[in-house]
Amino acid sequence: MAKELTLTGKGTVEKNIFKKLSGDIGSSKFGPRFLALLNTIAVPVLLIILWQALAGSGLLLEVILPSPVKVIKAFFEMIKDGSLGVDLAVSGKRVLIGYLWGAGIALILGVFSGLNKIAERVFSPIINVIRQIPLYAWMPIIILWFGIGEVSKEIIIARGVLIPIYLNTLQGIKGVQAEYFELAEVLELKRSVFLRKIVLPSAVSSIFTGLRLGAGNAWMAVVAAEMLGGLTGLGYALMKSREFLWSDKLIALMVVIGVIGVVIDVILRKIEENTLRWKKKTVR
Amino acid sequence: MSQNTILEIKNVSKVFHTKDKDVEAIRNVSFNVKEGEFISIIGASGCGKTTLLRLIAGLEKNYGGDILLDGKKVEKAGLDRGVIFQEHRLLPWLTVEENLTIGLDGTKKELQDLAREYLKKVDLENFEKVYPSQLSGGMAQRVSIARALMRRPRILLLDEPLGALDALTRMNMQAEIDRIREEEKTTMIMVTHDIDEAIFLGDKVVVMKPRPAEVDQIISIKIPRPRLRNSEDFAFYRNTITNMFNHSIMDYAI
Ligand SMILES: Nc1ncnc2c1ncn2[C@@H]1O[C@H](COP(=O)(O)OP(=O)(O)OP(=O)(O)O)[C@@H](O)[C@H]1O
Ligand SMILES: [Mg+2]
Repeated sequence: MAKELTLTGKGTVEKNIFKKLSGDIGSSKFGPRFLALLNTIAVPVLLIILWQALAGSGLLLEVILPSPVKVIKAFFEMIKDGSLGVDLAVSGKRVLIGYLWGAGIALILGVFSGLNKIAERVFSPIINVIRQIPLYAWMPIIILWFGIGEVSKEIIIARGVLIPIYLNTLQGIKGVQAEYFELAEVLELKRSVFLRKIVLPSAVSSIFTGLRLGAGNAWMAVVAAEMLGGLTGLGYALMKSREFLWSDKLIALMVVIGVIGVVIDVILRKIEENTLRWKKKTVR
Repeated sequence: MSQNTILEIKNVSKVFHTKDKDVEAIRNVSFNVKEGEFISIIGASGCGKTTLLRLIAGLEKNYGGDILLDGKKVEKAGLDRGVIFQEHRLLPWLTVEENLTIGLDGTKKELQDLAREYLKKVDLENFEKVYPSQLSGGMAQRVSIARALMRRPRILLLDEPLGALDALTRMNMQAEIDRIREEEKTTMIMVTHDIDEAIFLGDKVVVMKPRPAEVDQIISIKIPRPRLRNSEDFAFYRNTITNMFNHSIMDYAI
């Protein structure tokens, strides 16, 4: 034992300590997965406890800060009276339509611009100018032109989706390595094969980043658009809750919006992982 | 052996025009390659070996002189020249089989059989469905050799294909390439840094002078194959080429 220590030196000793530490964690009755979960939820749980304490202390008006319990009650109330379901369905439909339009246009323009210098010179400056004008600054003119109906909301959402998907698609396609262009020359690949087997796969990771950013934007845009007008949707429900000082509903709605945003992101991530299966495989 | 000349390189020169200066990479290189021959090109780092190979491959345009493949001037890349790059350049999102058959016409079955046949030639049976990231460096380079061979090129161009491999794998791969050369009778030009590798594989060794690349000497290697690295003949050629390098480095210094 002593001989081994002198032979292996400091590095190994440190490694052993590390091993011992992680071994202890691994062999504890909770297991590493539970600990990772604890790691993630520790701060949120603390905040909720703090929130409950603050709300319960009576220092703040209930209208300003309802207790977590009240918020949960409000949540179930909204489920029971059906209002949450309706708002979700309405907002969801708007997001879907706006997203599909925005993503479709962005993908087409992005692929086109990535492959063709002339197209890039046409579209990139336009997109860049559109990008510099904040979403909120677009709303008045969109409403002026299209009214406060569905179309306006869908356009606002599509505008939010367009930018990140266009930019990431363009970047992904322009990022195809020069080496692969040479390979295509050497193998005399047809343009269609080159596009399908080389350009798209090498851009797909970047395109997914765009699709995910776009989804986040769409979800934010729908709430913003609905706060401007109309009588349904999560954004409208938020505004109504504020007017009637239903702060419990207000917070419950915010949490719902946040959770759904995360769920959408996780789903897109899973799809991405599935598409990029080849990345995970390593030497056996 | 009286074979036809397959490739003629006549007074080839290449200058790269960069923003601030012109780089003369190759000056007046001439040599011929006969059908079935294995040419090793050896020279100091940065002397222009890759540039020469890329010119033959048709990946560099605008050169002086003539490169004639079967009498026709090389202007662009094409399937009649197989290229093995220093890195394997397999597409990571395609399986080995898909990498091999990319761009080829034929039914699924035909392509699968073809892929299997050539994987067997490079000693990689049953690796069809594997992704490149699951292969070791030597295995990946063998797939890339199979990819080039499958297209039945007139000539195979290898740019330091074994440069990234460890010494042992390298020796095995040299034997492997020798075997493939024997079986396929493909004409090959290989760039290398390694004098032993050049002698082990080459019918001729083209020794280049340091920048700009000019042919210093062309040495015919007259050792029966398979060659033994520890034979007397081998040592003779090794010494000859090593000495040449010492001289040309001296010339260069002066
Ligand atoms: N596209 C290019 N533009 C400008 N200069 C270049 C270009 N390609 C190569 N060169 C220059 O030409 C010279 C020869 O390069 P080359 O890559 O052919 O050398 P090499 O013999 O293959 O070197 P190594 O043994 O390190 O691979 C170098 O000085 C290099 O900087
Ligand atoms: Mg090189």
